[in-house]
Amino acid sequence: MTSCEEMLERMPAVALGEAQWTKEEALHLAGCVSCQAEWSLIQKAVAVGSQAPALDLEKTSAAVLGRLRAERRERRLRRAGLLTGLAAAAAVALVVWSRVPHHTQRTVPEAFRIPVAELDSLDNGELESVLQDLDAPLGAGTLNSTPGLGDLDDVQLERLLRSLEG
Amino acid sequence: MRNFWLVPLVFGLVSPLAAQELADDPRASDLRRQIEERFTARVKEELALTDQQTTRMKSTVRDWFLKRRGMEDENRRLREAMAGQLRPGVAANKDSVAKLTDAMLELKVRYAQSFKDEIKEMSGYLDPVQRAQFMVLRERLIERVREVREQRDDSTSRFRRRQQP
Repeated sequence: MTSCEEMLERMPAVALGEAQWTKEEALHLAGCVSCQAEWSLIQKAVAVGSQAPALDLEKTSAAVLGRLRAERRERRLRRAGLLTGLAAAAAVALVVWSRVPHHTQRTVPEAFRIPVAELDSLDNGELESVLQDLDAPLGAGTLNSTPGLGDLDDVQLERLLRSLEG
Repeated sequence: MRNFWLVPLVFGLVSPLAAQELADDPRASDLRRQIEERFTARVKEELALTDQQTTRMKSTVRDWFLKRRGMEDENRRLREAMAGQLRPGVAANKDSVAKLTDAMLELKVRYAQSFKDEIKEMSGYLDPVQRAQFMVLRERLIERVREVREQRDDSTSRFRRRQQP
């Protein structure tokens, strides 16, 4: 015979798709108004949580479950009606939900990339050439000054001469 | 700046149309993204940027990138126009050439000034060493870009000479 307590323990796993109701549990659920109400609440909490990636479903379920357990104990003591318990549980669910960041409020950090306008005029081969030379140490060949003719070797001078003739 | 502006000025090799084609090429876009990402990673590592510095730098570099991209486009248009005026065998319009020359020199000054202003803006959140590191890293990257451009210009001019009778 399945008790309401056992049903409550199983609800989060079933709601998260990690387990399924047994025949006996399904029969109990079908005939127990109290378990149906709690099951509905947990299902709603999980459905809301699944829409928010930042929400930890297990923690949310555990929080709702904990509050339901407390409520159940309280209900037993006070012999309170079902509506009171549900109202309290719903309030807890709302509090849990309101504390987690909503999907629409999430701010995804934009990747930082320094754009370089000078790359726009390079073709694929030239871009690949630049890419290969990116990792030189910081101290090497920094801030080249404008070379004079005396800095050029023979080949470079010939190239310069040819370009001037062109 | 070396002769970065001079050689393309003479040969006018990259037309606005060609530049647009390069900008639209998905492979080129991917390579540019890779270069910028690796460059950024290098900058973050060398400068040891804090989150706050990164946020502020993001805004600065984006603003100046847009300005310099506009200057690059303007430079291409001016080079194209100048190349049109200086075609062999065609008489150049002196007024046009004078205006183009002034515009190119003025643009060159604005381009250089943009780096000075950008670094000045960074002084609000980067220390002098970080600014120097950033300047060195970026200058090296731009220098490399100039080199590959010059290599292209050099080989194209040789090709053109071979084509001449």
